[in-house]
Amino acid sequence: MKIYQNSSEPIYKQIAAQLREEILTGKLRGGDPLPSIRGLAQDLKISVITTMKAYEELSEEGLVTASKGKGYFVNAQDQRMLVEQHMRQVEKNLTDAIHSARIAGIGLEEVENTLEMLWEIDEE
Amino acid sequence: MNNRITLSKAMKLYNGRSMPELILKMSLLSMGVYALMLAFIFLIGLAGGDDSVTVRSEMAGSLMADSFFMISAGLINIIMAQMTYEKHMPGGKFFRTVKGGFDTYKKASTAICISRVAIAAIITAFASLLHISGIVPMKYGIVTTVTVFVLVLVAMCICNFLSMRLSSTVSFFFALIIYFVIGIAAVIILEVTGGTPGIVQLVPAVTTAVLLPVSHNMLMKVYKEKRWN
Amino acid sequence: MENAVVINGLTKEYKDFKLGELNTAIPRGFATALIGANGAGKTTLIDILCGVTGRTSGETVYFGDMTDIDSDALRNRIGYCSAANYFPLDWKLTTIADSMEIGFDNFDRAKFGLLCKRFKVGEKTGKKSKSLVKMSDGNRMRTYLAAVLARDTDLLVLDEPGSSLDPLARDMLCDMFREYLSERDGERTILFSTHNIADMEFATDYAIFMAEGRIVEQGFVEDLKQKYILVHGDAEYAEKARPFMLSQSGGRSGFEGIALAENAEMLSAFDTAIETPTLQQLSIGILRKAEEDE
Repeated sequence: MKIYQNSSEPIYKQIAAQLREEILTGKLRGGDPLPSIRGLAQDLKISVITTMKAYEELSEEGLVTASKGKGYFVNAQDQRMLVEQHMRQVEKNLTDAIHSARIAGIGLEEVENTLEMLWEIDEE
Repeated sequence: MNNRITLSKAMKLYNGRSMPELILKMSLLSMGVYALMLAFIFLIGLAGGDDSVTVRSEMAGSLMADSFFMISAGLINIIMAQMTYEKHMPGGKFFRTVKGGFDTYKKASTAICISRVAIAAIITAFASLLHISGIVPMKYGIVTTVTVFVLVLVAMCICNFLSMRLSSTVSFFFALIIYFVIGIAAVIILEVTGGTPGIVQLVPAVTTAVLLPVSHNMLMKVYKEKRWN
Repeated sequence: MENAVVINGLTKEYKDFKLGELNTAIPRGFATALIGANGAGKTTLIDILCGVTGRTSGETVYFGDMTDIDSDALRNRIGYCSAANYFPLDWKLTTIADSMEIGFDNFDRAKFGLLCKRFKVGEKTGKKSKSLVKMSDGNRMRTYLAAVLARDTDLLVLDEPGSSLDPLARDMLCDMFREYLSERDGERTILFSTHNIADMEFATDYAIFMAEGRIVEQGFVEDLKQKYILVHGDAEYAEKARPFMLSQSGGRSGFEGIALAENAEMLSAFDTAIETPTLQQLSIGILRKAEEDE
């Protein structure tokens, strides 16, 4: 996990974002334990309360559940919700691409061609 | 109350040395001071052209060895009186957080008090032996050593009473004066009585036997109330 | 949330200083910083909590049910260390170990040796170890910390542990804080005082701000960072912004200070830049406010 201590994004958000990604991409599966709060704080050289806040945020999103005395565990992810989460990510990235294209005056057709080409390259 | 910490352990906790170790070291120091002073004056005598027999007989005729003994016995005793472990002194806060708290402090203080008496007794015995064996003759011999021993205990009692009212710095200042006065008193007593033992030694001896433990306990009580916390 | 220490109506009166009345709690499982200027009463509070100093009135409850700081059972669970003169200066590492062994039931001599090595004190030359009097202030503090961390305790109370340490040692101290807390997850608690929080920011979970013997603010660091905002603005708006600011300072070119987050909208009308404050910036703002209120 990477943490930027001087970033404008709060550290707890950075941690939450990275764990969220690991859960949504399936790197962390349902039932997997998250690192212990104080253990992670030790590893990342940050305070305990920061890690705790990150975990609480994930817990509010329903991605993890606290089990009293045992720490946090990843919830089994609903397949449809997973796809939806990914779709949202795709939409967001494509929107970014569209914005860039508009600024440069690149047309839809050209963007579609580029997308197809990149798709093929990625498959190889 | 914690009964597992013995007097000697309490002293090791406070002092880094156990009671036997401290008594041994301080006694050696006390004897060393006495021996050094004697050696110094002996060498000066020899340097002045006298032979060792003359120097020794001069010593026997004067209060030289007697007062050296007094100084070395008093010096170590007053140094050890400084082991009060006030809160602002190094270690003071640590000692206030250990097991037993004040009880441990009291044990350490009692151990120091006992050690001071023991060390005074050892140097007394040492000087007495040197006198009896004829190695270092004193003017009044055993009477000197016993008188000084008793008067050191008297000084300890007086200082205990003073410390109940005064801060450690002020009582150290007064202790210096008291030990000095006691020293003068010793010389006067010896010279006036001509070295004959009697009531002047007996009365303080009996009194301190009672007053030293009593004053120590009173001091501990006062210390707990006024200065421990 | 469980508390390691609960403080009820605590006061201590001196001729020229009064602490309290204090009512607060130290959360269990976290590192709490006592932040304040010199003379704010941090050391007095710590001394009372550890049995170094008596109190005038009030009660302290440790670990839910222990109230007698003179009891050995409680003393064994608290690891206390002051910044200056913790041990007599003629002591060496072995003397310290001998003394700690008698003074507490849970001192681990081998661990003390390892911690000394980690903190790089003693046995540099392989000769007999130095006495404290010959050590630098920083090395003395490292020795004290090694001694107190060599005990298996539930509550660590350190008075100004960072002030005499160099940056590397202070970083190591923060690591040791996290290690101490994580060793028995959620059960151990740290309370430390400091007048310079900057280097300890990433090892602080809960902050208690003190001024003139009183607690002026307290809370979990993440909550405080949401409660307050750091505001920068141009000098021309300094006076207009003042009513919405908690405290501010500035010169000819601009002003800076902290405000309650609820005033963010008001303040942004004055063309200000608003950020999340660091704990250090928060401390300055809160303590400045306390000083102005005096």
